[in-house]
Amino acid sequence: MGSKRISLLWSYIAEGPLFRYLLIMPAAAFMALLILYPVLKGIYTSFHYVNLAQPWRGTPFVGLANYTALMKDPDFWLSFKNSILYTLGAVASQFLVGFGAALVLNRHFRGRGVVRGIVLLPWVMPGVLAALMWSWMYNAQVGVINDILLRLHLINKPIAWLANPDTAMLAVIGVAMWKGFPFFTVMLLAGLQSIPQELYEAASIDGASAWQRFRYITLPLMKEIILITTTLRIIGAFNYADLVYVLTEGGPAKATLTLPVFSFLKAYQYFDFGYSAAISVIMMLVLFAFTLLYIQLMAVHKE
Amino acid sequence: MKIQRIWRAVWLNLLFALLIVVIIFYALSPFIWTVISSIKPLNELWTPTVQYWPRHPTLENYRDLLKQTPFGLYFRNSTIVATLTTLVSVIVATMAAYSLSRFKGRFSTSFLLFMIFFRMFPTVLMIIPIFLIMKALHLLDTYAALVVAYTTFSIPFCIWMLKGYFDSIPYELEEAARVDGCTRGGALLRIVVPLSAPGIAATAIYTFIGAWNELLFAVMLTHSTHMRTLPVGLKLFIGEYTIEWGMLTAGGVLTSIPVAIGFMFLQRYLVQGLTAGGIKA
Repeated sequence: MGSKRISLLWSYIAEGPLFRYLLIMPAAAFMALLILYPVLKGIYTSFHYVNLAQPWRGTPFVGLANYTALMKDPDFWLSFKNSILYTLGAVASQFLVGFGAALVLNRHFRGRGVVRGIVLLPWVMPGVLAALMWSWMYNAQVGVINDILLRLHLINKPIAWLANPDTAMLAVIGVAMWKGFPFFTVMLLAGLQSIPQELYEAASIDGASAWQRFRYITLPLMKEIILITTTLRIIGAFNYADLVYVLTEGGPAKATLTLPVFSFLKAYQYFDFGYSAAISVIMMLVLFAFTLLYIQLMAVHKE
Repeated sequence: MKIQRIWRAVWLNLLFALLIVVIIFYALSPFIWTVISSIKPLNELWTPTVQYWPRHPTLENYRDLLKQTPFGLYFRNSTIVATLTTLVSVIVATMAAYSLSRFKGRFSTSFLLFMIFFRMFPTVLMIIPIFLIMKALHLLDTYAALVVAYTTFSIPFCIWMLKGYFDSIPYELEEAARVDGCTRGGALLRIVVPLSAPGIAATAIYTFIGAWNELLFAVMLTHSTHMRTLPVGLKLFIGEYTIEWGMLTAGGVLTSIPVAIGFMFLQRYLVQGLTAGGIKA
């Protein structure tokens, strides 16, 4: 009899008008408790003095003190500049390499699926692993990159890529380029495949060169997907700390200190949670402004 | 004239093949170099000019790694955390995605918008409050802290992926089942879930990889050796074993294996999911 009652209960639950809400409830609860609440708490923390290294000072409300301190902190402005440099360098190089690879893979050949899979590998690997492999290749004494450049006589003595403030950012962007280009390849390849082949054939008959077909067919039709993918990647790269944190920890001499790393180190090494939260709130505002601009751009483009 | 054209075609095909080889080589060279380095004995790693092929290949780096470091423990921790994260996320997200896919309305639309909005929050903004919450709940340095933290980014992602798969299953199939006496929940379990099994598997593997790779939360939320995950372990190794690159590269190879295997299974679905999700977002 018990089983009958359970099945009655089950059919009441599974047929009732509340079923849709019951299904979504666990996810909604998770998201409210673990995303919405933490975000609000993070913003709240940024207006307080919270330093776990000095618990006796309590967590008093300090208004905008963390923000005004940030505005006067040269490290903040340096990491702001570095973040923009890193994001632009990483996304631009990922885009160029990724688009190039997509154009090559757009031709039909046997085993294309396998090649596309291989190309995606850097994208799915942990950032730590990418950083580990590349720091070994960048190694100043026995790194394979120095060895190749020496053999090609492009440099005459080994370079300490990650330890030299002049080359560290370039080296980090080099790793980001390798790790991130597959995203563009896959996304842009999907875009390229949706362009009707007849357009190219018609243009060829009219005597358009390969460059003209690229310039007047491919690029205009890919405009939207290029905008979407670059925006997603800009948001992603701006927030991504793993590579820099493992490769250089923001060094040498803060040459690669980006905002997420700066914020993370403030919390993790100095326990200065209020200050760290203020940095990430500013990052969020920068991204909001950027996204609004992007939506505006899209709207103009649609008209 | 004709011969010229044939030569041109041959030349273009060769160039094309060369470009493909270059792309594959660029994507794979760090892995290849890591594998080669991991099977070199110490004296072949530190040579005046780089030695491209090991003269005496050996597995001693792997043996040392497993014997002298807690790598095995890290591996186990990562497996546990990633598996639990995947289970929780996929179950919770399957229910929510079904609801969002089948019942349209203002509630569903705003829920979806809300999730896109969430994707913009910087991870570092989440780390501090989640650390404080876990500290208050005395959950720091436990699997639960990591699993809970990882679901913050995996659940929204899973809902996006799964909603896409559920949308593609014709509603008529469910209606037919319901005419035959199936409840809504029964239709979900007996029709929708089995039919979208490949999609669910792809979502699960992708979630697993995401949790497997995560670094910053794991650094912040755990502090004792027996709770460390692989990414944290590798990060610490780089600082600790600065010259033992044989061991470090061996660790890298072992870390990448589960990702590579999982990835081979889901490659095709992942491409679909990425392109669909990316365009929607």
